[in-house]
Formats: sequence, structure tokens, C-alpha cells
Amino acid sequence: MKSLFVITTMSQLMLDILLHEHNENDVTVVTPYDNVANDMFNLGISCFPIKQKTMSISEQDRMFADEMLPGVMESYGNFLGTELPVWKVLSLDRLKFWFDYGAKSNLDFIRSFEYDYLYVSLDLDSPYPWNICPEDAHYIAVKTNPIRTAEFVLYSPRFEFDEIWVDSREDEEFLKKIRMKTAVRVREKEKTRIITRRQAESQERGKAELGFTNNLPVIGVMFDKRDEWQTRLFLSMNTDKNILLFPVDTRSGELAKDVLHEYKFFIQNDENVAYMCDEVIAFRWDDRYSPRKLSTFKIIDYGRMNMASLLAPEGIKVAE
Amino acid sequence: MKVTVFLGRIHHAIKLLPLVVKLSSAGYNIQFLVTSNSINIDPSTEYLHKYGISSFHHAHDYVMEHDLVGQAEAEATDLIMMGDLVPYNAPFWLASSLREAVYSLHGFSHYLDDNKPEIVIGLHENNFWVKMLFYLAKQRGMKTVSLMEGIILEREEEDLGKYSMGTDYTDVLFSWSDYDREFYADSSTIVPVGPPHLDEWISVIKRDEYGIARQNICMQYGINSAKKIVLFAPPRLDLYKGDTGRAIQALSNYCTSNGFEIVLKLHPFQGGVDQIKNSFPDLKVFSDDDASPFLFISDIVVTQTSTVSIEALCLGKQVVELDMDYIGIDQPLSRLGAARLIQGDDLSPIGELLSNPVGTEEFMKERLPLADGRSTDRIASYLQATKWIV
Repeated sequence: MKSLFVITTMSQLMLDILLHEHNENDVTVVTPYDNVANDMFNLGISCFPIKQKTMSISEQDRMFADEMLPGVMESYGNFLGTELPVWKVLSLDRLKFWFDYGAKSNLDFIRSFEYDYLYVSLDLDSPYPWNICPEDAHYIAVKTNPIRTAEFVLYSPRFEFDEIWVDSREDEEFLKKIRMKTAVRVREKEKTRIITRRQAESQERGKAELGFTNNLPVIGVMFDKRDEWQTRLFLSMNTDKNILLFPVDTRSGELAKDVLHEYKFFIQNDENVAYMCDEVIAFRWDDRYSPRKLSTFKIIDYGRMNMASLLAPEGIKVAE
Repeated sequence: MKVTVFLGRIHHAIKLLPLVVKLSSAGYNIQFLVTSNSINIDPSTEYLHKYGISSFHHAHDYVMEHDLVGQAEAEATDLIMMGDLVPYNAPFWLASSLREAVYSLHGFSHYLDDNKPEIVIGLHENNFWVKMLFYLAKQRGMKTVSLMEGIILEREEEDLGKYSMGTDYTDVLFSWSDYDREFYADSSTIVPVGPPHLDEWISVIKRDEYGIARQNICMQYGINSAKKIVLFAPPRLDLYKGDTGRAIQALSNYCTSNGFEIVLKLHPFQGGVDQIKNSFPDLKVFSDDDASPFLFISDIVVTQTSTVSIEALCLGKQVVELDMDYIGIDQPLSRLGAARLIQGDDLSPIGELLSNPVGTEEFMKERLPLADGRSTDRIASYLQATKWIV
């Protein structure tokens, strides 16, 4: 049997499946991206890197106009209750920035392979996994990117895969929760030890060390610039608490200092002290936030705008 | 008179705020409207803060207030299911853009209904949000006003039909010159006024305050004002025609050996700025959002970008179009005698232009006669004289 892997992003799960398939079937690996080709090379896996066709800006623009002005975008009709066509809003000032001019010829090249199984990265950030459209082969998507995102949920009814592979029971549960119709298979990763943080007994001492000697609760707020609007709302409603703001990156830290100064809070760059807080708040689910493992961690999803109750794993408290 | 000014990104603020200042001082009641941009990668408050704007309306507040999140999500899901597979775009951008558009439509609708501005101003209608905002404003009988983002690229009209789509829901578009009129589908909406965002800079030059202003700005940026300043302002480097590293190095070597100060001003959306700075540690590299101060202090501007070239000419600078790799310049001003084209490795025309500047008065008189520092005055006068301003 022949297996074709079209890899746009890599993960341990994809690597495990690829190595397993190498032992079972005749495997071909293809990638349109240099960084993935380099990763493959470093892992000693041979693959076809596809070279992007060089086009002039004028050729690119004409191609975009043919495909997207309105092209396929006409099928999206008008926004509900309006006579405003979707393409007039999205094509030129959104989709043009991320249009892949090489995808047409690259997809033709990928389709020219013969295979019984097609494995692709479950990667919403690339057009390739979604547009090969195999007619006879078994079409399998392998988790390589975060799946607990609003865009994943919104786009999931369009999935045409025969199977999706994930690496945890939690992911399997999540896909059930969003009513994924595709069959889901789990290849669990090795269990790793998790060091739990100190909490209760050192919390009071920690608060005093941070200078909070009043009896008001200390609330840690994960500050992500994406949620500046939500943070502002939260701070305006919680002026009677001690607030420790944890910026999630440097730019968010700068933004907090610049634009939130009408509220009282302390910036704390070390997320390790979050255990001292009576409660740690975030406004969205993001698996990069380290205090998410604390029992005091809670998501407040104003207006359900960040779909937290859907995206957060079991056990995470979500308020709306 | 209530006027809403939509500030979607920092360049909207840079281009629109000179007009806002003028309209405020003329007694208009200005409200700022913002929203979360794209995945809020650049929060509006970052640039509002830079310009001292602390009071604004956020479209999401109206979505929340009217409890429309569930409805918006349902509409976005329906839209995603409605169309055909988009073959050459990542699905993330279709999903996130549809979601963002639906939120914006609901937020803008309720903002307009609750606040009832008479005039809505946006930078340009081909913008994602401004298209929606102007559509909604027109439906409500409000007047819509836009400016030009940059100069018209004839190639873009030919290949994309870009400008023909730029006035679907615009009542008045204030253009930089009469020349721009022919590119728009409805030329009756075009009113030439000059480039409003350069008014203050042009006025400083006209008031004979250039020397001291230049010195102050140079001091602020750590640039040696005693030397002739060569500004290299390329487009985003992935769009640069040729080998950027070679061009930067060659310009740096040429300027250093001839006693000129070389300044590299990167495009505001340029990524990897730190890496570029590390690659050229001796070079003064800036990636500020507004190019105007850098154009203002320079003696010569080296670029491939038509808008930068025209802005430089408006400020009386010499312009070089750099094509070291013989790839060609889009809509070259050198063909019209307003810039010098350099092809290949010989950069000596830079020194020649600095010693013997070429007169560009004829070109300016014909192509940009209104670049005189009074563009915002013209807009304010037009609005005051128009019947729909009561």
C-alpha cells in the first residue's frame, strides 16, 4: 500500500505516525514549506520540498482577481440582512494578504502522486491539507496545531477527512463536544510527571512578601493584548480588590503600562508567583498560560466571545 | 455637528488626525470609533494612547450591550457553510475574517443607531471595516467621507480594479490631486485637496522653521544633523525588488565613505526588525509607524515605493529610485523627470544630486499643485460649504 504525507506543520504525533507507516507501507513525504523540509532533513526523513513558482506582482494580482474578485467568494453571498456582498469586505483587505500564489501549481503536483492513504497536518493555517480532495484514498488528518480555538470550531463542519488522529483522550472528548462527525483515533503520548505548585500554606506568606497587607483578595489577571477590551471591563468592575497583572508577552506588558493606568494594579512578570493569588483570571483558553494548572485558575468569557466554555478542557472553571 | 472618525489601524490615525484637529477646532463634535483588529494582533489602544486619545467607542461594547454574541457566532457559522471551498487561502483566515466581519457589522450598526452621527469618516473604503461602516452609514442616510491611503498605482487598477471598488458607499473622497479622479468608478465623488497628513510638515518648511525643526528631530532620533542625510525607505522587504541585504550594505558603504548620514526606515509592517538591526549594527534603523519625520529631515530619499517618493517630493526632497538588480520599478517617477533612477552598483548619482539638486517644481505644479500645507483647510471649507452639513 502507498501512503502520501503532505506535511505543513510537524508534531510528535505526526512523526510517530510517519515512522510507523514507514515500517508498514511505501511512504512519500511532501511539503510546500522550507522550514518543514529542513526539519525532515534534520530527522533523516527524505521528502519532496516543493519550490514556489516565481511570479511578478502583476501576475499575482491578476491571479488573485480571477480567483477571488469575486471568483469563488461570490458563493458566500451577502451578509445576513444586508445587500453587502461578503467578497467586497473580505477579498481585498483580508484574504489577499494570505493568498498562496504557489498553491495552484503545488496542489496539481501533489495530486499527481498515487496513494492509498493520504495523511495531512490538521493545520488551519495552510490551504494544502484542505484542498487536495482525494477521490479514492483514505483521507487522514493528524493533529499538529492547537485545536481549541474559535476558528477550528467554526470551520470544523466543513472537514472532509475520513479520520482525525489526536494524541490525548481530552482532545477526543473535545472533538465529541463540538460534534465532530469524522471518526477520531487517539494515539496517546507518554505520561509525564507534573510538579504541582505549592499553594495554601505559603499563599498568605507570599501575599505579605508582595506587600499586600490589607485583607482584600488578591486577584491575578493574565493580561494578553488580544483581550485588552475584556481586561478593561474586568478592572472597571473590580476596583475593590488587589490586582496583580501578569502580561503574557513583552508587548502586552508595554500596553498595560500605557493604556490601563486609570485602574489600580501591579504588574508582575513572574507567573510563578500566581499561586499566591486568591484567584487567577484569564479571558480565554490558551494552553500557553502556565497558571492554568492552579486550582484557583478561572476563565471569565464576557459575552462568550472567546468560546471558553467550549474550548477549555474539563475541570477548568469558566464564567460568562 | 456630530462626526464619527473610524480609526482601525495606526496608519488610519496618522492620516486622519490632522483633519480631526482641524474639524475639532472648527467646532465639530468628533467621536472616535474603534474595534478589535483581526485577531487583535495590534490593539487599537496601543496607537490611541500614542496620540493622547483616551475617549473612544468600541464596537464590541455595542455587541455586548445588545447581547448579540450568540447571534453573531451563528451567522458566522452559517456563512462558512454557505460558500464553496476557498482553494488557495488557509481556512483560518476565512473563519476568523467572517467572524470578525459579523461582529463588526453588529457593533457598527448599533453604534450608528445609538449615536446618530451626521458624517462618518474613514481612511479609505477598500478597507475591511470601512466598507462595512460606510455601507451601514449610507443605509441610515449618514454621509460618508474618505481620504486616500497613498497614491494611485495604475497597475493595481489594471490588474485588480482596486480603485473602481473604492467608492461604492462613499459620498466624498478627498484626493491628493485632480489626476486621481479618472481612476474611480464615480469621479463625481472625488474632490482634490492635496495630502492632508503632510500639512504640518509643509507648513513648517513654508514658515522658515525647517532648520531648527530638523535639528530637534535628528536629536530625538540620534541622527547627525550636521551631515547630509540619505534616507533609505524600502517597501516591506519581502516586496523589495532585488537583494535587500546587498542594497543596504552598498548604500551604507557609499554614504560612510562620502561623509553622509545613512538612515534606514523600514515599513511599519516589517517583521524581523531586531534581526535586521543585528545584521547592520552600525546603521541607524527605524521601524516607526509614521515615515513623515524621517522624510522631513532627509536630504535625499532612496526608495522603490511611489507613495514615499511622492510624499518626499511634497516635502521638497530629492528622490532616487533604486533598482540595483535591474528588475524594474512600478510606475517610476524617474520617467517623468521627478526622480533619478539608479540601476546597477554605481551609487554616485546620490552624491551628484546632493551637490546639484534637480528642480521638481514643474512636476509638482502639474501633478500635485495642492501640496501646499492647506489640504485640511480645503476639506473643512468644503464640508462647511456643503448643504449636508447643517
